Amino acid sequence: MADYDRHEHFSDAELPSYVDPDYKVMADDLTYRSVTEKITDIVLKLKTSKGWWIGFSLSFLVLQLLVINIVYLLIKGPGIWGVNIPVAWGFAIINFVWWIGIGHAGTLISAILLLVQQDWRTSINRFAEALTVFAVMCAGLFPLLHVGRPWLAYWMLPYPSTMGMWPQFRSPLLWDVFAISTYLTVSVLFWYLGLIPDLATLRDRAVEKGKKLAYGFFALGWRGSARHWDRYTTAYLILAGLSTPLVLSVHSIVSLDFAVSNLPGWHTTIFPPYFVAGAVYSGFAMVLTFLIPVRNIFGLHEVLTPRHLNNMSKVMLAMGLFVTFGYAMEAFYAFYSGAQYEIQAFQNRMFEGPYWWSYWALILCNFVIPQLLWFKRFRVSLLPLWIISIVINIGMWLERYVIVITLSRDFLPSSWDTYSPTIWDWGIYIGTFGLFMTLTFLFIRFLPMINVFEVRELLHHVSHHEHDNDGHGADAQRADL
Amino acid sequence: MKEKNTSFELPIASEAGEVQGATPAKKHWRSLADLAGAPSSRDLTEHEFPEGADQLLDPVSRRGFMKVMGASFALAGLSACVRQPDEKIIPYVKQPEEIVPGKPLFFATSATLGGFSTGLLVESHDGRPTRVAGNTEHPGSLGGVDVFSQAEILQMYDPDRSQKIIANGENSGWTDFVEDMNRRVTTVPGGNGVALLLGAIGSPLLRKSIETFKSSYPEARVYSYEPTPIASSREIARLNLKEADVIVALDADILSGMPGSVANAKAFAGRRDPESAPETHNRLYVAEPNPTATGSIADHRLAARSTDIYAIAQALAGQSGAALSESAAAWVAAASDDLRKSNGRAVVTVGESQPESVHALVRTINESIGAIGSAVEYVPSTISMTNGGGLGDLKELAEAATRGEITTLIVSGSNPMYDAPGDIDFKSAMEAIPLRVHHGLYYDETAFWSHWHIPATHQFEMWSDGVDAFGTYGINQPLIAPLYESTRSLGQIMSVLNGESAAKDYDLLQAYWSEDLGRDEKAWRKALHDGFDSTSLAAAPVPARQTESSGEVAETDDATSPAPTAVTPPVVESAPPTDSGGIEVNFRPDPTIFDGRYNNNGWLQELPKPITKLVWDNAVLMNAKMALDNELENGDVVRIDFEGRSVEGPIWITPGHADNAVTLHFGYGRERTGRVGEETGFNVYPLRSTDSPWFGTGASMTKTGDSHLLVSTQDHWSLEGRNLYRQVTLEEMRSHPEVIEEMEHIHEDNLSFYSSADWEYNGYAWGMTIDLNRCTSCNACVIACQSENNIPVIGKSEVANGREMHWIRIDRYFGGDPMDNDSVEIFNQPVPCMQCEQAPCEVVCPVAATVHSSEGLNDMVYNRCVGTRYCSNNCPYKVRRFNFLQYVDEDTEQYKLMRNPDVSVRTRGVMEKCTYCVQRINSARIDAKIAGEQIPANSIVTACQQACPTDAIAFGDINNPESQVAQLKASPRNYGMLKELNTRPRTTYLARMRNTHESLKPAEDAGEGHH
Repeated sequence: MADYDRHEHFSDAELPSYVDPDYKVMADDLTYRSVTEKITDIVLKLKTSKGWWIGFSLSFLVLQLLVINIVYLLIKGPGIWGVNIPVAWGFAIINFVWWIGIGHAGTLISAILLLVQQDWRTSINRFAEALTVFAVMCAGLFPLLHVGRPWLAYWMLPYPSTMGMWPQFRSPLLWDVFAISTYLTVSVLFWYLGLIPDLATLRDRAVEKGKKLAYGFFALGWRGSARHWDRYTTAYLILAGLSTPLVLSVHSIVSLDFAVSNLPGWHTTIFPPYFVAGAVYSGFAMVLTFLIPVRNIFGLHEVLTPRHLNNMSKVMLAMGLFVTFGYAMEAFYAFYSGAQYEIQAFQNRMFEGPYWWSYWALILCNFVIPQLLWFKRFRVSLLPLWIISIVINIGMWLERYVIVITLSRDFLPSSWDTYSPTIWDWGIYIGTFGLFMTLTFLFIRFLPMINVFEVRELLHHVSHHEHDNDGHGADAQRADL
Repeated sequence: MKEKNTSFELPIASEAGEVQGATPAKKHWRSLADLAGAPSSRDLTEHEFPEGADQLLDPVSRRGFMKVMGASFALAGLSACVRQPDEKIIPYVKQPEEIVPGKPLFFATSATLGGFSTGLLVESHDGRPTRVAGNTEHPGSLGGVDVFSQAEILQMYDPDRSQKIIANGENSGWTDFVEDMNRRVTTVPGGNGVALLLGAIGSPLLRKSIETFKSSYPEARVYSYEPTPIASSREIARLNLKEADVIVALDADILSGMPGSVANAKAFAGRRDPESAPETHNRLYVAEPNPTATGSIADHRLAARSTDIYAIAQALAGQSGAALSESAAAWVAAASDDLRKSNGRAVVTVGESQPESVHALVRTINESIGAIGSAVEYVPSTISMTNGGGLGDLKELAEAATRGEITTLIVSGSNPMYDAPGDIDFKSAMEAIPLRVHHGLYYDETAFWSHWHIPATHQFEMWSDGVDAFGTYGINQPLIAPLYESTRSLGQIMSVLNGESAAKDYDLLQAYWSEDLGRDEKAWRKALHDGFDSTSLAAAPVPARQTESSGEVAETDDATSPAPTAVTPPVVESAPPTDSGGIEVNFRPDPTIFDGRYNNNGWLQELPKPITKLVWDNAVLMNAKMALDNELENGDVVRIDFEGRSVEGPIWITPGHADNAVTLHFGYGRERTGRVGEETGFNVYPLRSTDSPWFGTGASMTKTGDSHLLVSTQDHWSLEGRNLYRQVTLEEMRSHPEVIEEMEHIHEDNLSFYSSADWEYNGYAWGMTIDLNRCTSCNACVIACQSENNIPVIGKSEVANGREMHWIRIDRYFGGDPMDNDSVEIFNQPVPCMQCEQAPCEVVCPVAATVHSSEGLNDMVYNRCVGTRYCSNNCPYKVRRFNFLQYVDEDTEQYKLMRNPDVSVRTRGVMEKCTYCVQRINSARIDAKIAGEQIPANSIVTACQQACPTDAIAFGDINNPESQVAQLKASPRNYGMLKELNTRPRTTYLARMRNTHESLKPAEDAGEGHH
């Protein structure tokens, strides 16, 4: 309302020279009301569009593919896949690591960027968090389903059983169980906690009784009192604090599945950091892959500005260089080690093995193509950025493929064999997209995909910037990447 | 094929109606008893199994069974208290003295293949034979066993075995058959027009009844036909490899493929013991076209075409013959040098596939070096085959049939409709015979083209006798009552033909024992117990037992040792093989399914063939150079044209195969076999001719452009410069005993993230050594393990997926350049679980399903396993096997009988691996505990160790200094594979020592360290 004067504070002169004046954190003409309406109307007022129905139906159809795959898998066993001895882990573990990686964007955006006070996170954190939760759900399916007897997978949990048996605490797979369940719990809590004020907004704005009741139930009686806000902020910060180490720990632990083993090509100390970087890399790519179409479809240009795209691209570029450094070091250590099996594993991975192409495809996707992000043009123009984000997703999937497929050639040449996925491998992978998309469509339709109150808060800060020093002012702007 | 059958269908049914006379209204071809509705007859034709069970066996009707089951469950729900059927279970009222529940019994018997029997010991649980092992007492086995004898147990339980008497495509009965035979055979004066076609007969009892048949029907004809015959016209060269310092094998797979190979391998390996007898290490020269198990362990192997073997033999004999290649000349020079220096402690041996001319030459060489009497004996053949045992007999039969001279043909133990050579049109011969009777284990091609099919009793279900390759007479006792009531033995059929229809095999055998052999009841019992007649040993030259013999061989005594009735004719002078240019084709029995008789045997189909490691298929084997010259890759289908006939098959590159030659294996491409053998491989027999049964030149090869998926369990042949397999020459080892240890990459020990001090191994510490200096890759251990541990067969596509289940595998690497035959070396390395002391598998299992035992075993807890497969990933040796699908057939009744009750059957989703036969360890532990003592050294024998014909595997308590394994581990040859990973493997290897001739340099040392 009274914040049209904001523009002058946001003048070119105040921005660092490297920030394009167009890249504002939100459009100029936003008001508290317009923000609220823009976001909540998608949920409450907008008629369910034909596009949504088509998208949802397609996703739901693909979800049925997942159901069919799971049923058939449970009937027949993991032998329907291409896994064998020596490649006892195949698509299931590749997809698991990949989906877990996807989830990392949400946590990083929500937690770390919150703690380092990046205001541009506000418009995207809700969406990213939702994707995190859905991605972790997809990821969690795989370790469960890939075991030979999934109905006994609960034996991996430490519970006081009548058999007097505990899990085996030295196994990284057990660490995975803890890491992922913690991650899922904290992610869901964090996401839900962040939703509560918005749910209350929805409750208050809803007209139909059913919606009022439903949103009211989940809003947990939020009234927006100062005490609520006080407690809320504390709780949110605590959860952010809890999530921050998780960003680092989850994928570190997932990487230990490989690094703790004694296999050449797996047994490397560089795995944890470079897995984390890779996870953030793929997570940002996935958020962009979804956000760009959603922004266009729902006309969210005002809150998802080129600045968001620009910053996310920069994060991706940095992470891309980080993982590339990982690849380089991995190869260098192998050759520098002088260890025969390690050297031959990398020779096989890069040149001589049957899967050499996948290594170079990975380098192409994760290193070569993302170099375009050095150019501003690619960082802010939607289509190229969208394509690059998909390429990075593919590249990160290939990275896990390259790692898992290292199993095909280990110590004894007599056991060397190849692995080729079957239609069931592909089916379950594609099926998880069905699950992911279905949940995403439901989320878009029933929950505010952008954090209403935080955007309004940001609006407040932007319009009154410099008014509070610990807020999200121009200092933070300068701290932009 | 079905339509063809009708075209020559005989009106047996109506004729039978005439015989039955009194029952003109009969419409179905069954029996008189059937008309009267006698239950026994119905049982005979319909119920081989307890009620309902036969439905389970038939996969098609299993659905029907499920429907019935569903219906009955529904009914059970309706009327909650259905009366239980009136079936009683009764415990033993009087416990039989020798039966202790849960304790197996062992029976000595033997199995016959191609007329020669092998002494066996069969494990039996509650009356069910479950496993075949060698008979340690038997001089022809000495505890070792080959793959075929072991797989006989699966053969017996094969649900695809023929189970019903069939007349003209319909179920029939024995009495009808007897009536028909009475009418068609026994009433024919002199047996005119009646012909028998039999396989090689080694059983003296059967030979007697055949003689009876011949004398009762002087005009009847008896033919014998084996697709892979052992000539009975020639004297058999019985090897005594214990006496041989130098062995020269010319195209002879003496250690795995030939009769007597088990005892030969024992004797051979006994002379390759650098620990206890370093000075008596033998030296093996092999010249052969296709690499065999024997060739793989040779100190000097020469890839030579079969055609060139004659020239090599000539050169060895010092005669001037065709010019040899440079490498062959060098090989011959070295071998001759050794033979000359050997003072008679040497032998030259030649395989069946070589013509008589080579056999004659080899005999002269053996005479000239003084080998006869020490390392080899020439004795009359113990098997009975007409016409010298060649393929000519079948040709005569076919010609006689075509001339219309044969009205009734009775075929037993032979399948000429499948395996007749290509130059015999056996099908038109068959069609020219008005009545054809087939007797065999399977409803095979010949059964299909016959009017009568009588299912044969398996040799483990009946009484018979036999003579092994060393002349030891043995009694085959039945291990179980015939599984199917309709089955009959050849002896029973001969009895019918001889008009003794009431006689049982047992009575006939006893009569033969007491009357013909003149032996008493006590000797009978002893022979039964021992599995052989020990008194006949005195008469027969036995290599293993013969400790001080030198040329003094007792005459064959007819009273004690049943000698063949045929007098050995003088060696036929045959022309040396001529080289008519072109490609040489070699025909050989398949190393696992033999001549086709084991085509439906899943164990043998899935057994990786030595050297090629192919499963479920045969192939056109050739070397890499030839494949490259013809622009062929593995699996490319080629057409081989030979003498105007042709077959098509996929090629498989076999390094070390003679150049410009291919080898084809028999046994595949069956048209009528069971579910296992269907659609496997291609039939080679049509390419073969009576005149060139084993090899011939002048063949040509054309690429067809098709390709066929050939599945091998080992895709990669190179060692990649890794020190996994180690070998040095005997000389190197003598001059520098540390040479093996110095191949190690890292010498420090015991660094571990996990405290290895948890395990002190104060009690027993189980360990194993595998002697690479002895292993021939004969595969006996693989089948023994499969049988002992209830390992499932998974099929070609699953093996193609890389999911083979064998707990012990034999890795095979090639050394040298595959393009250069002179440099090719073959390395065999059996790999069971290493039972690492610091096992990588254990620490990664999230549910502690694989755990360490205080005695050093990596125990696999199947019940606890959830199947993450992490253990397999982390196993550097990749010895773990996973049930990716439900591999174990839990429904088939016969397989239930076959399984070892001491070993759990694993379901899908569970990891499994070698356990060091923990069930045997625990059994010994219980026995020791009862006796109140320690488990004695060397008292536990694993299944693989027990089967191994070369004693390459030693197992025991490494903490016990008296145990063989502890002593072997102290050898400088001992090394741990991948020891540098600090896994501290309990299974270690003893490096191979090549005993090279100084003039022939070893091509390249494997596993050379110091990288």
